[in-house]
Amino acid sequence: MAGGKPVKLWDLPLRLVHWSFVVLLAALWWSWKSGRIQLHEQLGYVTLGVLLFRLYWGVFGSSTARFAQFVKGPRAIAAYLRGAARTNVGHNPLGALSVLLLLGLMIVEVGFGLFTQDVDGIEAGPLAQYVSYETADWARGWHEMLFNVILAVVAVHVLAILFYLAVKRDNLVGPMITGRKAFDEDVDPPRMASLANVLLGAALSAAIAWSISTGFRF
Amino acid sequence: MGKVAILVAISAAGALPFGQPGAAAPNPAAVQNVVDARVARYKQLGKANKAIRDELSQSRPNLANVQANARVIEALARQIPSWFPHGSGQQPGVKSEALPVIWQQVPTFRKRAAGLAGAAHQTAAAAASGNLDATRTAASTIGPACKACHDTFREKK
Repeated sequence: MAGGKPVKLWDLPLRLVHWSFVVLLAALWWSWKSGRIQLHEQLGYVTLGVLLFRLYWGVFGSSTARFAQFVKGPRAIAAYLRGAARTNVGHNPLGALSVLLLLGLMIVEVGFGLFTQDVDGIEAGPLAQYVSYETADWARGWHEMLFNVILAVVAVHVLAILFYLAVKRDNLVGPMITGRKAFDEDVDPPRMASLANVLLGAALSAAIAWSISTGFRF
Repeated sequence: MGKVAILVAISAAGALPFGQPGAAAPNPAAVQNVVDARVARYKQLGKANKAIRDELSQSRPNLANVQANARVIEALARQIPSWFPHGSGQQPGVKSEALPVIWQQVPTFRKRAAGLAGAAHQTAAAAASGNLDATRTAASTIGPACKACHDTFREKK
């Protein structure tokens, strides 16, 4: 895929969001496994903030980050699978499902975490105080279970990337690091969002994540 | 029918035959009942602990509620050693997180349970006195008291 001039495909915020998920997932798992629950909670708030920013970016961000740009219906997915689709500048219609699934799972996972309480009532997420012991205990069960589902979807995600690399000769990792990709044909370059927009989204996400982390008691 | 088989049949039929170490093994279902009963009581402990946490995170905590739940914890904590009769630990056919070390270090186990009762007692006393800061300080020792026991005697997940 070395044809034409490289096009800026993924902006820096999007790439930072993506790779921060890799680091956060590992750190969240490790902090839980090693019993560092307070660190686990703090990492969870960071994850919440990053997810909120990704949602903001999915609506107001650069064109390749916007859900409305890359989320397609079943017909487009079928066409892509048949190889009948045009060149994708950004997520392809099938990859879009992977993005939605991973983001959705992580949002639900963090949501359960906020209400989770350990069985002893010692450590609890900031919103556990608003629900009963039974509900908080139920949330803990889901919080534990869903992590394994996320791992499974991550595994599929990684396998798909290897498939593109080995079989389709399309390196997806490089552009996610450099932000640039060369296309064989002429494509319309994606429209990148402004720095002010990044800052506004980051500030909003941080503020919301922080309020939730206090359990809305300021 | 051998002696052991008869003993097993008797224990299956009736009361829990938890005696001293070395007594005949009771049937797994009966042991599981004992385990389930103590798990239910530990959940009561967790519930009371949550009630205290939740109350103290309010802007104006109701100390009477803290006191009542601290008394619940104290009363339950004093019973803890009685929830662990000999032979009620992990064994084939029984799902339990209670480690064998409980019965190998009985004095330490009792001391840890008493530690929780003491922490709850202090919390109830502080709440009764109406001193919010003292209540918070005392209540903050309940979680570590639970953990002190779990770290040694409960299976890690």
